Order: sequence, then structure tokens, then C-alpha cells
Amino acid sequence: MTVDQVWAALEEIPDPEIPVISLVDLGVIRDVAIDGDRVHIDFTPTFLGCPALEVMKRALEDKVTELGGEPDVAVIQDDSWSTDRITPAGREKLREAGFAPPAPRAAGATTLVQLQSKAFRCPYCGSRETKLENIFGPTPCRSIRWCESCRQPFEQFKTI
Amino acid sequence: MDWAHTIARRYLYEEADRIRLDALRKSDDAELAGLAAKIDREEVYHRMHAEMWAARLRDEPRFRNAVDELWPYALGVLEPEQRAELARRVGLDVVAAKERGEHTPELAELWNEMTEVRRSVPGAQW
Repeated sequence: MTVDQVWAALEEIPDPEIPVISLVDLGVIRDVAIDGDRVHIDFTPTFLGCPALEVMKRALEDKVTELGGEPDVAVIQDDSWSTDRITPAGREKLREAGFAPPAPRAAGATTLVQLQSKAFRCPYCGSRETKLENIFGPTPCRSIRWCESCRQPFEQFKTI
Repeated sequence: MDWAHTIARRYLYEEADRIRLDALRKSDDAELAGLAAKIDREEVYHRMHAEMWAARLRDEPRFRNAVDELWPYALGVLEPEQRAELARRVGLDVVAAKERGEHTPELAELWNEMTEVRRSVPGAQW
């Protein structure tokens, strides 16, 4: 078993809430190391209160067990994950599934003025004529926007 | 419960919480500082939500009255040395802080509801 094989296997684990994207695409796997049979994974949750945290941790452990390894998953509770960690492939998968990917982190935190600006593109028609409907969408990590061009709502990943 | 009161409480709490989180981020306990920094990424949106509604209701008498009523409790969220900063941010004068020291009856009701499944199926795993 090699580190590359482990990464390839982890690539198959879908995000529990948005299954179009894998945990690897989401950027939550920070490191994989192998020591004999032991497979050590550093895992950084997205949101601290994410209800899917335990589900993801268990999915990582199950995948390592399937490969014949002994899982050792460490949950890193620091500030190292941000939406900038979502891979370019992951962003594209989100967009294809109708979720607008998060904007890159600007210098400093997001402001209401930015959310109300025309910087966000509709994932369906590509128009920038979109407006903020609600900061909090179906999950804490998504906002609801409205596209003025194709006249439909869409979910925008928050930049955190 | 008056909705303006709910928004006033939320707004004051978020302003106080920001000061508390800023202090925790500077903690010399690296784990605590890391958690506070991570929480703060999400808090940005909570503050934004509270500030957005507070700005809309700012001149409403019901909102003003609720802010005045809750202000001593908002000060009580923080340590004495942090209270002047909260007063500066929300534009009010420091008054004697009120620390309730006990939970209101609403907590018991909320707790009962939120722990219902766990109590009805002891040992449940999900």
C-alpha cells in the first residue's frame, strides 16, 4: 500500500452533504502518511459545527480498512481549512451540479457589501446579474442567491 | 416575545462575542487560539446577519427599547475590562452590568426538546 493508493481511494469518498464532490476535492484531507500497516490521516473539518464530521471521519476509517490498513484519523481543529482549499476540479464539479463555488478569500473577511455586489456568477447561465436572497441557505455553508437573467434561485458556497 | 427584542439581543450578543473571540484568538494556548480563529470564520456571517437587521431596525422604537433593556446583560457577557470596547462599538455608555447567574426557564424547555431522541432511545448511535 502506497500513499498514492490511499489518496486515490480517498478520492472515491463523496462529501456526505454534497456528494458530487469528494473529500479530497473539498480539501479536508491535509496529509496522508504510512507507517507499516498504520495509515495516518490528518483531517481538517470545514465548519466546526459541521454535523457531517463524524460521518466523514468514519468514511475515512472504513476506506483505509478496505485497503487493508489500520486507520488513524486525526481531526485537526485549527484554522487551516478555508474554502480556498477546494481544488479547481472540485470547484468545477460544484458548478456543474448547480452550486456556485465560493469566491476566493479576499484580503480579510467577507463583507455584506461584497455579498451584495455583482461579483457572483450564476452556475446555470453564467450571468453576473445575481443578488443575495438570504445569507443562510439549506446548510450553514451556503447562501441563497437569485439570478436576474435566467430567473431562478441558486446556492452560493460561502467563502470562509 | 417581540421580534425586535430577538434582533436586539442577537445584535448585542454578536458584538460582545466578537470581542470575546478576539481575546481567545490571542490566547497563549495554541489549541484554544486555533479553535477561536476557526469559529471566527463562521462568525463573520452571523455578525453580518445581525448587523444587517440591526441597521434596518435602528430607528424603530421597539428595537431601541429592547436594546436599552438588554444593554446591561450584554455588558455582563464580557469581563469588566472588555466592556468599554463593547460600549464604543455599539455607541452606548457603560452602565452597571447585569449577570443573570442562572438560566431562564426557556433553556430547560429547549434542552428537553433537543435531547428528546437521546432520552427516548438510550444508547442510540447515529
